[in-house]
Amino acid sequence: MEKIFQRFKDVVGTDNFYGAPEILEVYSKDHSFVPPRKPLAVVKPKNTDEIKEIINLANETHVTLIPTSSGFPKFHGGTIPSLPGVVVDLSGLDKILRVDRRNKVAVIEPGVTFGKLREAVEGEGMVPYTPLLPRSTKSVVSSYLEREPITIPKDHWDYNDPLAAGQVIIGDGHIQGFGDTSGHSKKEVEKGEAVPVMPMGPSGIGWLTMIQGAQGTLGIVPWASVRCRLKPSIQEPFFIAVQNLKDALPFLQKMLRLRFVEELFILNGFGLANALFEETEKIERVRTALPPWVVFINIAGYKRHPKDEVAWKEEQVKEAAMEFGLELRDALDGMSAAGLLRVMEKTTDKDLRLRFKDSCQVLLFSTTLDKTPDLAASVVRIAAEYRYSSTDVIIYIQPVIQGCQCQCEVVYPYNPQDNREVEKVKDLYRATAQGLSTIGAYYSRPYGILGGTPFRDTGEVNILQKIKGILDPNDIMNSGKLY
Amino acid sequence: MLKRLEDYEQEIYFCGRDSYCKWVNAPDMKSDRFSRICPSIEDGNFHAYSCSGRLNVAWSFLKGRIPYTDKMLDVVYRCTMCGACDANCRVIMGNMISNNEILHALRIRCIEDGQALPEHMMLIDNMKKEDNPFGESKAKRGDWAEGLALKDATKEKVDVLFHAGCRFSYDEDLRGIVREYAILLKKAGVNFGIAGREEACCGLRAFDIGFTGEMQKYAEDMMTRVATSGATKLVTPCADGYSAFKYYYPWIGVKLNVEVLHITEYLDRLIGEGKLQFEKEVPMKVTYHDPCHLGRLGEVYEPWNGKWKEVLGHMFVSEPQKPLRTGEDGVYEPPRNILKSIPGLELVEMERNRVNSWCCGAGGGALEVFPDFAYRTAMERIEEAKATGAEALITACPWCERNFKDALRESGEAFEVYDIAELIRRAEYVRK
Amino acid sequence: MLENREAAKILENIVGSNNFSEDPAIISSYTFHPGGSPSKLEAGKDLFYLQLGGIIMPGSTEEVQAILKVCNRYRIVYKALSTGMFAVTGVSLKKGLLRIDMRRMNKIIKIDDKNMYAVVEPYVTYTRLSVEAMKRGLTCHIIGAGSHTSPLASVTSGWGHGHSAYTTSHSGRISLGAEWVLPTGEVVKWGLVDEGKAGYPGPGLSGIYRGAHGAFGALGVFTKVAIKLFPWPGPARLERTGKNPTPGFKIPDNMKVYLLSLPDAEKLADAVYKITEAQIAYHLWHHPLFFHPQRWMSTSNDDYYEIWKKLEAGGIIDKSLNELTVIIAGYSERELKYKENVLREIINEVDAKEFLPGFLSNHDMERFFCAEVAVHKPCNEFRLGGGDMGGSWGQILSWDNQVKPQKAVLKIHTKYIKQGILNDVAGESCWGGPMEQKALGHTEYVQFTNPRNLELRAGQGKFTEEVLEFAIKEKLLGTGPIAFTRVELEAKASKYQDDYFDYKKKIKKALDPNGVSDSSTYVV
Repeated sequence: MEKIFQRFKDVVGTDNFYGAPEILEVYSKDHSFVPPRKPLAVVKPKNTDEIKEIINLANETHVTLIPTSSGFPKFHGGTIPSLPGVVVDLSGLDKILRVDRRNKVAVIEPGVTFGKLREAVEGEGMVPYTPLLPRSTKSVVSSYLEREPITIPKDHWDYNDPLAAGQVIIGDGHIQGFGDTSGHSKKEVEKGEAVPVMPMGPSGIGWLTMIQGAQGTLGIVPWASVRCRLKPSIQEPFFIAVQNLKDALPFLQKMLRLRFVEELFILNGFGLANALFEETEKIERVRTALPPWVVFINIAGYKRHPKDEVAWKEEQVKEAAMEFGLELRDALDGMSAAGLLRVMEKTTDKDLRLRFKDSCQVLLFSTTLDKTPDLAASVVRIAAEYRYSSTDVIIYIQPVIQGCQCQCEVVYPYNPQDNREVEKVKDLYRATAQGLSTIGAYYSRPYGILGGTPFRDTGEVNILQKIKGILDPNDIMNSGKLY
Repeated sequence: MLKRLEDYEQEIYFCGRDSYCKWVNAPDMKSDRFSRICPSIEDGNFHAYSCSGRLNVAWSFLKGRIPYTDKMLDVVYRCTMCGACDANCRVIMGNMISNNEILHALRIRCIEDGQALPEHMMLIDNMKKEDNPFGESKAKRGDWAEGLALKDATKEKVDVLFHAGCRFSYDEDLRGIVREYAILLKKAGVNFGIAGREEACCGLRAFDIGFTGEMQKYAEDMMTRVATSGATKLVTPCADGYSAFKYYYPWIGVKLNVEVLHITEYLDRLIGEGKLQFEKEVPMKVTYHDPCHLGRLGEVYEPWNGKWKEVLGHMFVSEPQKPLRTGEDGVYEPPRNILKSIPGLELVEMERNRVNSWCCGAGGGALEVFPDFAYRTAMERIEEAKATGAEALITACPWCERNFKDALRESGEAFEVYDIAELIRRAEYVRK
Repeated sequence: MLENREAAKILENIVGSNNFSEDPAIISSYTFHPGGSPSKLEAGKDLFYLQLGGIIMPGSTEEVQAILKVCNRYRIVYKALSTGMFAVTGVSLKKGLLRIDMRRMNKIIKIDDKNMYAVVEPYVTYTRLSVEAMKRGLTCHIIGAGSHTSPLASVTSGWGHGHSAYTTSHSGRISLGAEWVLPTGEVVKWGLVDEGKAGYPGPGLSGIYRGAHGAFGALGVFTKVAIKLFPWPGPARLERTGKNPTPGFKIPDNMKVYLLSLPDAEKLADAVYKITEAQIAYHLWHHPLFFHPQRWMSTSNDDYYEIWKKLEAGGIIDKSLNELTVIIAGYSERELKYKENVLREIINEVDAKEFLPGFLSNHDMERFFCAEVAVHKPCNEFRLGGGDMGGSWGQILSWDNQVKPQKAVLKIHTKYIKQGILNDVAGESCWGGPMEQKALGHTEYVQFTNPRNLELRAGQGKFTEEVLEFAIKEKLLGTGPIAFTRVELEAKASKYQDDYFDYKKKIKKALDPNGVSDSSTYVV
């Protein structure tokens, strides 16, 4: 093994090779219930060539690689080794290679965080697409690859979005460009000689679609082009409070059809409290004042006559709200929608999921909007069965694919020091995952137990095994992860 | 002179397989349920059963790649020759493909090569013997007019020669309709006459199945009869006859030198001139079926014997300019005008109306050979009529009416089918 | 006739004798395929290159599975076909191929208007789906090939560009699920073809069979697809005006149509970028000059030619009018007014003028609207090629990157026009438009000739090769070129795009170990 380690050191340099137990301990676990396992080592490549060499080395030596780009905390177990292996930490590749204002894309390395990206593009009058309250250590590329939903459904045309194009070094060591920069080098893209804007292809292979949601089991992305949007000149955010989630659906469906609303999502009251405040005491204080469900909606005006633009949008939103007996509110009990929007524009050092207690379990699933009330009710019901306070559950519903689907996140905060609570949440998580799968929840991001039966379709798994066999013939990419 | 199948070779290979021959013309499509336009491919399913498929079959045949087989004849003849493919192809291909003519040319070739189907042989035999497709006695042809004291146009000069047609002449169930029309014309003071037993088939059915000689004979016979009668108008209640006189006879080079009118056109004219008026209310919700031969195939035929020339590189233009017949100028409004002028009657439209009409299933010689196909085609139309909420389906063609009625009887379903004349009778028209 | 008689018997038993045929007449209707021919067929060879063994029409996924299993057992090469409009759908080099005609699987299974998607079978056409969707305030993406083609075929196996891409995206990005019978006969389902499966599996299965385009029948058979629907701002049914063969639709009161002409390709690109940034357009597309006369202004080639001569007399031919079609729509008066005002500003900024002033009447605009926006989408450019669009070359790139190829390909195109191989195209052949409210999109250089003339066809092939050389040299291959059935050209392009072709071969081998899913237009 030492010889192999030395070869890794030869690639990345000794300074970028980590074998100390305390460091390995850090990478061995996260907040998920995936069994902890220390990696054999951690390497931090500095460029594409080093990544390629690492993969080639892994193929030669049959050492498993576990790619990761984001920093901690993490929640899904995707980067905990299932088998002994070497973590490839890409967080050091954090260059902004190019910002293209005209085409509204930025070309970035995987270690670039949302904060860094925002800084880079804001100067050009743009802002990135973000998930809800991304943490400061979250990698943009990783977030998009894992299909973390963005908060603006109208611009989410397909699950590839907001990734625009890029490159992947697949498990057999070959570089493949995806999208319209297939065949172009990183240098050409950096210089602007190639403009990466379209993720399809090349030709009959959808590389990006294949590697998304793959938890690094098929390849490593050394750089990617990500879409950005114009920074609004004026923004008018609103809350809508509802007792029953069902009551909000017709309004939401209309907003999704109108396709001019910017941020649009739903949080339960407790979820909103956690979104607004980082401190447990503040969350406790406000949670009872908040309604069971809150819709957040934002409309914006841009460059050309932004006031007129906002005016026609607001008129239609107000009409729709009235039509469905809902009220648009600037604030709820003193907590302003604009305040939430401001918070959303930054990254956070305290992840939303860890604000109430020191750990949590996260259940992610996708569904259609019309099923969300029943799914949410089931979450509450099952929590009660397991004697978990349902008012401590965060439920976040994010319409995606322009409203054709939703991605939902259920967060169960718990005290990791309390073994009974830990066991309770474990059982609750499994029971909820199972229960929801029978009434319309689909685990499109199959982390942990969700990657196995009964949650994975056998036919799907069979074909994925074949593809894995092609792209990663020596099974060195995050082995044991998907099925 | 009729073109041969070979003469259409260039047009045959213009087909780009865009499927316009299978579906209701896109801008007119109103629902998925009633989106089909071709009864043949709905029945046969293989692409060969569409017009595009038949063009391919024709071309393969011309190139000597395929022999005659039972299946090939099934493909050729399992088609009501309704003209929908012809009308729809215009929207994409303009005047480039003479769909209807090519389908006929293919059938004519089959007959020339001795490939007539037995059921069609019987039909032709009947025509040869008794001048009608049913084999009924020619002597009895004029019996429908018994007691009406109508003029004999073979002996007297008349302004209007009234051609009853074979179906009306011999179908006792439908006899009341043709008598009604005759009574109407009398009441309107029209100077008209009939040929009675001297009347003969228009020959369209024979032509449709590929026997050109028969229709040629009947066309010339009709030409003589018209001349003898001195008529300035030839009026018929039979849509097949109408289409024969207006479209098919000119195609085979026979000019009748007379204004050809369907009875509904003529009545519409009379109503417009104030010569007929309806007295009684007919409180009924009805829908109207456009017969193919009155609508799409009821336009005047314009012959073209030109060539295709390449311009701008290899784009084909016709020289001289080939007429572009779309089926839009058939007889659609006169029957509707009549229905709308009947007090109390509510007319609702089926989705597939006018040029997009779904065939009744009776034409093209298909009924004689494939009665099951004719049945299914008719029932599809009846379903469509029912979907409008109408109480009855009205038509202006005896072949349509017969096929609808037979299909309903076979199915056991209840739905009323009438000719326009039957509603006119209920409305008790008077002469103003 | 299929070689193996035992297999033929089994196949017939699966679907019933009415749905299986080896009759020469039936087969002949599938034997000639317009437009495409595998490139191995050079001048002088047969247009009837499809040598089929039989036609089979399954009526269910189970029948498809059974058929494919028989084919695997007896090594019968097959290829599925939906409406069969286009070259690649029919083309195959395999003698004795079994054609699987999907016509009997033709249901719209579901339109979910709340979640804006539909589930359809292979033979459902765009028009049928579109008229039903419109009743629910929705529309579907319709590809350039026209309204009587199959969304399932395009989404799973074809290309996918269409005039309404600005609002309705591209076939490669609207799929929400599929039921896929693998080449060996097993079924895999993903996404919303099943009620409870809203989402892409992770990893994404569709990336295996589809990138910028699909596998053209080389990776089994698709029996269902779930596709996105899009908001339709117009009425539940458009009001028909005019008569065939050039029907019109009354332009709804809340929509406005602008046909503009820009001074040059750069200004056209600027206009696209500005309109995109302003987020005001419902529809944004660029037609070459000749598309307007052929698609909706003329009723036949004859009067197309008359219009051409008028334009020529007016000095308009060969002028590259850099046309831009803009349609705006509003759900309120205020919205429409805002968009109109902003568009007018942009029109001034880019020096846009009215396209063909004096040529177009109000009814013409209704005819244009009918041909352009929804439901109809006639592909009557086929007339210009004698019933076929001989070929095309295109790629998806950012709009600025479309400017250089537009000019360069036109030069190459003009050369072939002067040589008498390709039809005159009035000075510009680039057709295409941005998609998804972004300044990137598909452009295609459509060429026409008489494709039944195999010598001209070979010449057209050389044009395609020359354009490929240009694209390789200038590194403008984009998402991979459209080169119709010329799979060997794609293989060549692949050498400059990380040799992705190797992976296509590997995927093919892994999924189709017996090599029975015809790959004449997928891999060499």
